[in-house]
Amino acid sequence: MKPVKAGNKLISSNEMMPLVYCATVAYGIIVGPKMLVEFGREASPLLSALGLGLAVGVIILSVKMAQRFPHLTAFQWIIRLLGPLGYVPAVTLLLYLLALQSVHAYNFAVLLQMLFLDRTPLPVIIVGGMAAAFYGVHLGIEALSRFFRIIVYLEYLVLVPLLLLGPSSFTWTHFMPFYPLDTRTWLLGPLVALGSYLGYAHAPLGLLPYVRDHERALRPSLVGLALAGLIITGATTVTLGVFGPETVRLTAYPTFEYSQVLRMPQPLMFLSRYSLFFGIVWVVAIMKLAMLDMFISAIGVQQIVGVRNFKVALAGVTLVVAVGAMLIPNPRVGEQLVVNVALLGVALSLGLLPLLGLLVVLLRRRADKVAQSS
Amino acid sequence: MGLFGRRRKAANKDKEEAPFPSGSSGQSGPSGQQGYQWHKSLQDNLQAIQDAFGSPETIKLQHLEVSGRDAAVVFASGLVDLEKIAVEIMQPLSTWSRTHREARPELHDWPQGVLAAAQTSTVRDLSDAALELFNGSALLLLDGEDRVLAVAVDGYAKRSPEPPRVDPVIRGAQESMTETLLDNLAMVRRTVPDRRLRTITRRVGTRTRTRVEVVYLQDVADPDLVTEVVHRIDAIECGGILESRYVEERIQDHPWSPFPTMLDTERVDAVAQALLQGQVVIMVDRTPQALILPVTFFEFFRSVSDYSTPVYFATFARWLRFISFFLSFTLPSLYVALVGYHPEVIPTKLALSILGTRQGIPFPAVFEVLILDLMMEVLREATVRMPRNVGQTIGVVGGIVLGTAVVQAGIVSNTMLIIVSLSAVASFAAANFTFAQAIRILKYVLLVPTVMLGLVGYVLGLTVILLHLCSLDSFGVPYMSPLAPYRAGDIKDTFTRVPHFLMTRRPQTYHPSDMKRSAKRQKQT
Repeated sequence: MKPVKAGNKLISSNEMMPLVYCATVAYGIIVGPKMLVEFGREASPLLSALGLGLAVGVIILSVKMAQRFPHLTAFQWIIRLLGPLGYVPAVTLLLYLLALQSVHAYNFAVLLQMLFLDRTPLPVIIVGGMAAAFYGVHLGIEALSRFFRIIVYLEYLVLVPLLLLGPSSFTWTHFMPFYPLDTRTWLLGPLVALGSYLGYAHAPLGLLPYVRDHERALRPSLVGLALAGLIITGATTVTLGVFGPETVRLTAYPTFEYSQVLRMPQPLMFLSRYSLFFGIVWVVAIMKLAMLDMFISAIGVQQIVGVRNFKVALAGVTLVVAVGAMLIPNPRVGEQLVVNVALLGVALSLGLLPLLGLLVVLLRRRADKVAQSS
Repeated sequence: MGLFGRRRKAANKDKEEAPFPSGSSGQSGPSGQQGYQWHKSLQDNLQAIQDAFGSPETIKLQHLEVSGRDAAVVFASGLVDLEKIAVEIMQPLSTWSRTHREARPELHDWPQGVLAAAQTSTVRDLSDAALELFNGSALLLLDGEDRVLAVAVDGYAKRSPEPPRVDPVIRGAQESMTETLLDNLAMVRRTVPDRRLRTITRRVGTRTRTRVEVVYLQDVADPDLVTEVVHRIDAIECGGILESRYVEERIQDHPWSPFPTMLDTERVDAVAQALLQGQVVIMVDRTPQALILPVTFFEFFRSVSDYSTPVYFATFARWLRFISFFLSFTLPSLYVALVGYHPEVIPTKLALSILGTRQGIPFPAVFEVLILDLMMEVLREATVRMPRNVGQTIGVVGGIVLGTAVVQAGIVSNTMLIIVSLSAVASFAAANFTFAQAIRILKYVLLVPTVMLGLVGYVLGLTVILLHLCSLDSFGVPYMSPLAPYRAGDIKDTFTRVPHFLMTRRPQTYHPSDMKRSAKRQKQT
């Protein structure tokens, strides 16, 4: 298994900020607030902050792990460490990514059909989205990182005013009592919050070999996570404050609902359909996560299956994901799959990575030799 | 040369056979080693010239005698100044002959001691002879000499510098370039009279052998960039270069992209400004536009006038251009998406107003857009091709009469007329005409996904366009810089125009060798 080719275009460590941000906010802004408010009720903003703390720990671990093999992707260093046995977690990781994308693509299509395109068949929406994502990924990591950076600015431009207008519609009693939860919920809550940050670990793991100055990748990664954490925690707070735990339980996408019920101040009445802007951000948010995961998956297919041409591997990934999305029979299964895949993500983050970390410590001497030879 | 990731190899297969026997591949330098070698016999050389040119009417021959030796002056009529030939060649030679009857004149002595011409050069072969003749030189041949001298006596018709037609300004220099490369270079040198202003000359095109100059400031421009530009020009293999676009398409990074990755300008002050901030300029003979490179996306929203107007207005104008750019290619698609797919998203009063104007219109919104847009494009093309005086009248009358007629006939709605007109006018707010052309194409590109998927398609289309922009480079410089990748120092002259005294550093984006604009004066060497 060869290291990443030297001829590939590299990005600077600063570009890790938009990559981590985009990976995290993408699905987190859509399902995060609902998951958190349903589980943590009045304490959900606090649980979100705790989950962010947990995510910081995991991302430090992920980046440190990846930095040990700066020229190898996660797929490669897992196999390097574990030998032939390493193919099992490597393939699991690849399948997880493919499953994640299929579920996301399906839910993306369902969401769009429900909100905007009620007469358009799901496969048409899926194919449209996948085609755009394919175009983006085939341009390479450099173009993607530049695109993500611009999206960070645009998202903040739309989301921050949206969240700042929230307190004017708050029912403050929705936050009371402040400590309503039992010990079990306090213990499990941050893990649920971690689920809403799903996606963050992939970026540094999959993309560090493409970072020119990888030794400086941690700080921008943490900045990206912090920016994403602010948005997700803010969205959780606002949906709780505006709707309360009981209403949130009944709504499918409380953040979008909030953008629809938002009442603009008088001077901004011309922006009465703010949900339009939010809808645009939403579509782009899912697209960018899809592109990131597709890029990493295509690299995985190249390295595990041995496909030489990146575009062929990418075409294969696109096809598998599109077919996978079309095979999901109905939204209920889709929702269940979201939960299952999220749990798998948490398991991978909290289970597989520490396990591998332990192995790295135990096999340090051997790993050093391998790293030097690579 | 890692900076230049996607360097385009000149794979032009249209290499043509040279018209004269010469070993030249279309570049300057010691060409013609394998071509016709000048003989000592004047008759042989004149015969060779006659054979090569086929005795056209325009090639004139004047025999004379110099100190008892036969000589000849060959020139192309219409391209030379006959008075210059008389004063700078004939008269001095005649005088010299009278005073040096016994001398055996050597050709290489003439320029210094005999001729009154300011510029002379040795012609190596017939290919060079053609080039010199048709660039306004006279050839001087002497019996017994196997060399030929070219004397610059050009007198062909030239256009004088005029005020710029494309990017005029109220305040600032009213001077634009002409078709004569040497005059253009002179104007640039007068604007930037720095001894470190360097030019590299190349001749491109096996038939036209067009002169191409690479101009840069030696201590400011990135040396790797200069090398790369010259390298790409050297790699061009083609029959003829008639305009700078011929060079541009052969050396740019993304020839298939609708977005220009080089900036063309006819303004001398724009060229000077580019040189001062570390960019490289390519000037092509017979083209009144220079090419500036590398450029970023945001460069096309800057105008030279921004730097001669107060900062607040310059910033305001820049933002107007950004907004106009966005409106010009998105407005028709957004209208189609909202009216055709998602009228519920439009505020109620506005929706009622729009729906009122669409009462009785037989076509869907997308056909309305296409009908009006195509009509607008036809008018635009027609007014460009027509004589100027008629074109303006036809443009105004055609626009108003046709626009009113289609609305009154109930083919398109009033709102659509406003949308398409606004989009067309906004496309002209771009500071560069080539960029405005890209916008015209994008409008239709965005319409396709919008028609298929409504607002979702519109967003997907915008995403794809943004991704495409992010993938572009101009000679190793990211097109979306300084936004992505982020360069904090360059932002101040991107979305705003800060006062001149705050612009102390050159844009980092162009990798200048010297970042400080006000470099210390160097000792004269």
